[in-house]
Amino acid sequence: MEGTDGAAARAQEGESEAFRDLVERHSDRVFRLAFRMTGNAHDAEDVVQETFLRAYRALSRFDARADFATWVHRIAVNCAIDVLRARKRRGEFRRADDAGGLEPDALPSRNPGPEADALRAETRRGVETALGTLSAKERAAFVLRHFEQMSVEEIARTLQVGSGAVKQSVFRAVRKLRRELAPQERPA
Amino acid sequence: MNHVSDEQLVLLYYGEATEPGLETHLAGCPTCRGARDSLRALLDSVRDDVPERGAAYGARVWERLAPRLRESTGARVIRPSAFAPRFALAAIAASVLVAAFLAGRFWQQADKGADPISASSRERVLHLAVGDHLQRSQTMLTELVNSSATEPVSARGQERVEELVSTNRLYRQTASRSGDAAVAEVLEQLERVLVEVARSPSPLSAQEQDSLRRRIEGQGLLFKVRVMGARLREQERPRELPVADNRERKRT
Repeated sequence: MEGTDGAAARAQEGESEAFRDLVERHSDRVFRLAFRMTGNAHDAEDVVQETFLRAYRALSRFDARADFATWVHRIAVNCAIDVLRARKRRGEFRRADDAGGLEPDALPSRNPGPEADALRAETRRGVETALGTLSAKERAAFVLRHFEQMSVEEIARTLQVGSGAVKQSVFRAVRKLRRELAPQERPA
Repeated sequence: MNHVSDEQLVLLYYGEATEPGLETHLAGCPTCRGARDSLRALLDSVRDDVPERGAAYGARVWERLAPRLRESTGARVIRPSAFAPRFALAAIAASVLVAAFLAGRFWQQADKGADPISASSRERVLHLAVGDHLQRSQTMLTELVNSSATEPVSARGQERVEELVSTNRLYRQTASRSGDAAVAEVLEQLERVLVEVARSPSPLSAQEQDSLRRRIEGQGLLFKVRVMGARLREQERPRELPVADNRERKRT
């Protein structure tokens, strides 16, 4: 728990090593969230950088008794939403399996065989196609519910929307996923 | 009960269904059970597939981030001010006052041979104040060693270095007069570097910065400042223990 070890409080007092410690400790989790939100490693890396930059600038407003992980997670969600909106404005659509720019140790570690890989890639494309048609906030709602396992209430607080809106976003996402992935549900 | 809606099934999957009787209905309705199983299979297939980043990922993120943080503060030195400028300035101003006060007290003592403040209290205040001063100086030196040569020092950053020089001078003189040779020695080494930083042009050339960095690292100045600062701050912490011991002794 971040609130108990005081690294955030020390960072607020100007200890650059304490902020470095926070960055090193929370980067992986922020990347995971960013990747799930944006669907590709390039954008996820940008989100990670932007998240910690914003956290640094806003550090004086952080309540050091609170949980740093929760706080930085919320910043990451907002950064990812900004990236998704910017991408939509530019009319871009990056494929989920576009892992360009990844370093060797960043490649997927699981390799259960070519068929399973192909199926997984197909599923991932379907998921990305479905999620790609959602608005940034709708996508965030689904990602936070499905992958991050946050409750509807927690998501509503993070996204600053009503819990009804969160549920509707999740429903829409599931409907679109069903449309994209349904044929794979029942193997011939 | 009517058949379970798709929305209810989604909420059920995520453990957020609140409507009573859903499970009972599902147990007796093959149509709804089929729909539930189908949805479960769909959502189960949407699995986590995030690429692994490796154990050193956090360090790599920091490497990329650190220069951006320095750009963000707009200053080459004094990280604390980047987080809380008002607090940092107030702390430095307070240090100057404490230093001036202590210096005055020591000088008065030397001149008149009488001082209403006890020697131990004076020493304690000095140690606490010097401990804080060393911590601020350590942060500034760390920033300097890690910064890029092309970043100019902001006017405020320059002002703070000069304040550190003034404070350091007062503490060094006070430590010398009170016979605290170890503290005085570290403060003297620190002062030479602080003066050099204060007088150096902004931005530093790469050569100038390398020379400064070599000097800081060569003298082990950062280490000395860190150790002395920690020692002084620690020293004052257990002062109340003897009182507790006395109480214990009285009870027994």
